[in-house]
Amino acid sequence: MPDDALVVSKLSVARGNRRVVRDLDMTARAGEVLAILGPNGAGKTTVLKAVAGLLPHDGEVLIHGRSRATYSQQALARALTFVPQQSLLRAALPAHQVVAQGRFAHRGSLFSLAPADREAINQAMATADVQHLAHRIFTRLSFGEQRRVLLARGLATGAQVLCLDEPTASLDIAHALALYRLVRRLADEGRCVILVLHQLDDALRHTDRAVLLSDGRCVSQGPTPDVVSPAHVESVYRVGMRRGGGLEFNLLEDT
Amino acid sequence: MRRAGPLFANADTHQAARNPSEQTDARGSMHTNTTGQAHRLRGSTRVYGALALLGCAVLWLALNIGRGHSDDATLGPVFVRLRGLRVGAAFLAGSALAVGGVMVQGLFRNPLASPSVIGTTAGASLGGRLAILLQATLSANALPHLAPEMIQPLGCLVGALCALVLLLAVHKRQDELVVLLLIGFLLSAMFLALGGLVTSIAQERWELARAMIAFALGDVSGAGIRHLAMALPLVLAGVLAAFLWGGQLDLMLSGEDEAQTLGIEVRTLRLYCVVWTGVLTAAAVSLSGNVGFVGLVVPHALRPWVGVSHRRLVPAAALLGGTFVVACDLVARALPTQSEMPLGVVTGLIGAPLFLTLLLRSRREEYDA
Repeated sequence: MPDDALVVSKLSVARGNRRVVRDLDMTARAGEVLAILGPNGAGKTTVLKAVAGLLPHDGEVLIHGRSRATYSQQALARALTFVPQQSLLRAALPAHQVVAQGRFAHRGSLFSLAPADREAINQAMATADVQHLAHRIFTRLSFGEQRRVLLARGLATGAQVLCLDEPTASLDIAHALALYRLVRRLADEGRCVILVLHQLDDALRHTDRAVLLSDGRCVSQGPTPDVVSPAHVESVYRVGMRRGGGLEFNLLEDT
Repeated sequence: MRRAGPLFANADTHQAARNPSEQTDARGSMHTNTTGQAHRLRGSTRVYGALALLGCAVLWLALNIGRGHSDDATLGPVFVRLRGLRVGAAFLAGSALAVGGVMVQGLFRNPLASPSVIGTTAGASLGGRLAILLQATLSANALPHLAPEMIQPLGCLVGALCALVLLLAVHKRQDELVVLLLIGFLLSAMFLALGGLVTSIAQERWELARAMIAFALGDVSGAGIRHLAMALPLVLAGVLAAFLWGGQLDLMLSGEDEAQTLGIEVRTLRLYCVVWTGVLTAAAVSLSGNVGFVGLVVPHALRPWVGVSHRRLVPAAALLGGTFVVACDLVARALPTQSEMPLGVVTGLIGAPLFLTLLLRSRREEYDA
C-alpha cells in the first residue's frame, strides 16, 4: 500500500466572513503527482497555502503520519515545501544565494554552509536547470527563470512533499515539458508532488491523481482521467469537453 | 567612481557584473560558488578595513578639534576627557541607530523604514522630556539614590519601554506586519503630540525650555561616564542580537510567507527585531536626544558596498553609523558659529541630501539596467 505522505481532513479556510474552502478531505501519496484543479476562485492556492501552514484554518493536516502542529517550523520546512507562483524577493541577490536560502532549515541561522549544503544546492540547481543562472541577479531574470530558481530553492530544502503553485505558468513550452518531466522524476524517486494546475490536458498527461474543487468544495477526487471527465468539467467549468484533437508536444531529446 | 546600486542592490550585483566568466563557468557551480564567496569576502574585508580607517581618522580628529586647546598642560587632559565622552556617546548612538535601521528595513522589507517607525524613538523622546520636567520640578534630594544626570536617560529608557509594551500589546491582537507598521506610526504621532505638550508646558521656565529644545534637536555635549556605562551594554547586546538574527532577516527579504516556508518562526523573529530595535533606539535617544536620518541613510549607503546580507551589513552599519554621528558632532563643534549647532540639525542637513543622492543614483541605475 502506498505511503500517505499528506493527509488532509476536514480542512476549512475562512477569509473574513466567507469560507473559501469547506470540509476538504484529501490524501497525497509518496511517489505520485497530485493535481489540484478548479476554476478561478475555487480555492486551489488557498488549499495549498493552508496545507503549508501559511493560512489559519480548521481541520487537520498530517505529514508523514504526524500532525503538522507537532513539527517545528524548521522541521516542517524539511518535510514540506511550498513554491509560490511568484516571489516577493526584490533584493538584488544572485540566484545561487536564493537557492541557498533553502538550506536554512538544515543549518540554522548561526552557521555557514557546510559542504553537504553546497552539494545539495548544486544538485537542486542542476535538477531545476538553473546552474547557468547561478550568478545572475534574481530580480533581473525573466519570470520563467525566476520560477525555476524558486523551484531549485524548494528542492534544496530536501522536503519530500512538494507543493507547487501553478508551476508552469509563464514557462515556455520546452521548460514546461521539462518541468513536468522533472516532477515525474521527483515522484519516481519517492517524493509526493502536489501541483495547482489550470490546464486540464496537462493534468491528464502529467499527473496521477487529481482533486477537483468548485467554490471551495471538493467535487471529485481520484485518478486524473476519472476526475477530468466531461460530466465534471461541464458541471464545474460550465464548458463542454471532448477528447482528441489539439497539438501534441514533446522534448526533442525524447524523440 | 563606483556607482551606487538600487536601494536594495548590493555588492553582489557589481560582483556578478564584473565576473562574466563566473556566469559562463557556473555549471561547475560548487567551485564557482566558492570563488564568488571568496571574492565577496575579500570585498567585504576591504570595506570593513576602509570603514575602520575612516572611523579611526574621524575619532582622532574629533578628539583633537574643538573649542579649547588640548595641548594646554593643565586643561588639555580635561578637554580630551570631555571630548572622549562626547565622542563615545555620539559613536554609540550612531551605531545603535544605524543597526536599528538595518533591522527594521529588513523586517519590513521597506527601504524607507527607520528605527523611528515602531514608535519607540518618540516614546523615548517623550520619556526624556518628562524626566527633564520631573527633574526641574523635584527638589534636589527627592531621589537620593539616583544621580541627577541619570534621570533623563532613565526617562528615555522607561518611555521607550512603555512604547514597546503598548506596541506589542496591540500587535498581539492583530499580528499582521503592515498593522505593526501602522501602530508604530500611530504611537509615534501620539507620543510626539504628548512631547509637544510637555515642551509647551516647559516654556514657562527659560532653562527648562532650553533643555527641552537641546534634547529635541539632538545633543551629546552633556554625556557622562554613567550615561555611557548604562548605554554601552544595551548597544552591544542590540548589535549582537541583530548580527545573530541577520541570517533570518536575509530570508525575510522574500516576504513573511516564503520565509516561513523556508523554516523561519516569523512571529518570533518579528518580536525579537521589534524588541531589540526598541532597546537600540532607547539607548541612542538616552545618549543623544533626537538624531534623525542615521538609521535611514547608513544602511542604504552601505548596501552597494557590502551587499544585502544582514550579517555583513550589521557590523558595517555599527562602524559607519558611529563614525557618521561623530563626524556630524565634529562639524557641529567646529563650525564657527556663536553657539554649537544642534547635532540633530547637522545629521539632517547632511543626511537628507545624502539620501537624495543615493535615491537618485539608484533610480538611474534601475532605468539603465
